[in-house]
Amino acid sequence: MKKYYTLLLMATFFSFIELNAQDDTEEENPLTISGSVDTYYKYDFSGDENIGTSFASEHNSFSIGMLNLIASQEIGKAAFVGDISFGPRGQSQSLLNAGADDNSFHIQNLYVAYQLSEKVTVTGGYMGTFVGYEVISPTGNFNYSTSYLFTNGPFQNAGLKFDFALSDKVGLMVGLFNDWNEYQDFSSSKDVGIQLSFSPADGMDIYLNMITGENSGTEFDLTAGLQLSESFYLGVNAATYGANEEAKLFNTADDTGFVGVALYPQISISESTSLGLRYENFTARGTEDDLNINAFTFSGNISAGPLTFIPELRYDSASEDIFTDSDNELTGGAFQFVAAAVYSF
Amino acid sequence: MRFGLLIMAVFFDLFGLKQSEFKYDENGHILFYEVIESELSHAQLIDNAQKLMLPSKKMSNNRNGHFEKASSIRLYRKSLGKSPHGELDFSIMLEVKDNRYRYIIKDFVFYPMKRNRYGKFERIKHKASLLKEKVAEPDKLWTQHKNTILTKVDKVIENIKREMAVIKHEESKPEGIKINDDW
Repeated sequence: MKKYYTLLLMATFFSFIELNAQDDTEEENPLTISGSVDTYYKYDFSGDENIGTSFASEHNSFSIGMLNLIASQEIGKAAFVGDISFGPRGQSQSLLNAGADDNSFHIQNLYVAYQLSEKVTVTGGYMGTFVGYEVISPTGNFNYSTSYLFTNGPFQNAGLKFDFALSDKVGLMVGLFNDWNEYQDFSSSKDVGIQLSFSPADGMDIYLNMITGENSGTEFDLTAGLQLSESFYLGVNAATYGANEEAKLFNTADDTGFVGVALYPQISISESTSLGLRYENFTARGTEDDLNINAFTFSGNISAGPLTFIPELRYDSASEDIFTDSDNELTGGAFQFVAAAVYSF
Repeated sequence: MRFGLLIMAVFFDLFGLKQSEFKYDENGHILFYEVIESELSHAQLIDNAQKLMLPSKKMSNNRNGHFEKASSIRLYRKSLGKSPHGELDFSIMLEVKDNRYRYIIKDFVFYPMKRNRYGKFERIKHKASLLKEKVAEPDKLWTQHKNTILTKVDKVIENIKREMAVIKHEESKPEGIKINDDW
């Protein structure tokens, strides 16, 4: 009889464990922890750091990008995101040193959001910028090095924004922000940001962005992601930026700032492998001569589960001799190779 | 004999063989379907179905005892922490006829998710795929998801059966104290 009881107890015990495991899977909207780790090797054929990319800057070195840790949760109508980063990419290369002791706060995103109605959401805090195609996180970009448009645009915008879902396909964001990339705004004026988004079909997203402020200048930006077939994708970014000598809400000077366009055709050749080109034409406007750069970046994305390997070749050609060659002479072109690995979790 | 049955019960329990499996319609699509005879009246079944299906803000309607609503479950990767892998949409249909009803749970479509530039996870809409294609893949993650999905569907079915069996009781007025002369 004792054996019967023992077996019954065992059955009950294992049933209890199974029940708890099932309950665990049913948990609604738990705290989400995600992020990434990236590392790279770069070789510039001039023998020195040459191309002005935001990340992947260190020549002939096995270097690190960043450790990115993101906590987020959505419960009911409320949500938060806390996104911290450690490493060159996530500190000095993308964040201003905010404190007197030259420490950044490591914060890429720190905001709360509340859904006021089915069509309106309010978000407040420090957020990755809504402007531009490329982002700081290496998991959000196809290429490992970055475009000039990315490097010269805003990285983060702290502020308060309202998102309006005007229809299933059209959205509008209006916000009031600190000057670019500032945890704390010391100026009295604020930037105004507007984004009009349009999604005519699944896989097609078009954004028209504008951010303007007396101190920050004015940037107009078009960003689009177009999945044109199952295997072919085209990204588009075009932007213009200007800043007046005198502070004005709208900055229209044509002898400052920049203008540029970048195209990102990408093709999937298998489930785990894609090839892509970034072509960028970028002009830095000046009071006398403008500086024009054409940049060609060929990248592969080879995935093995959460790990993506990115081999990359990049050639930049400038209208003036702004690069150096292997003899340390000024030249108009620069060529580099990058091999990067990005792990996403 | 009894000992043998007990051993079998423990064996099935330990190895999870009582876990339900995906069911497929004639076109090979995943579908859960059952006709249930009830002792309740047609009106009572309609009333129960309305209460069960109408609170949903999503799609819902009632045409001749036909109710339908959309539902969704989020599937997580569980490694260091939990991060969303994607969302599974499906529809729940409930039909009442005479003294019986039937449920049909179908149209399982999986949307993978990725982090957007603000650190939030969002659907990759153009990468939607039918669930049957995903569970056909020899993938450890999808084996975990399969259990999550089946558990969720079991709970949905259990809830339908429980709510459809509810008998409406007429609220009886509390009787006041009556002072009777004949005491």
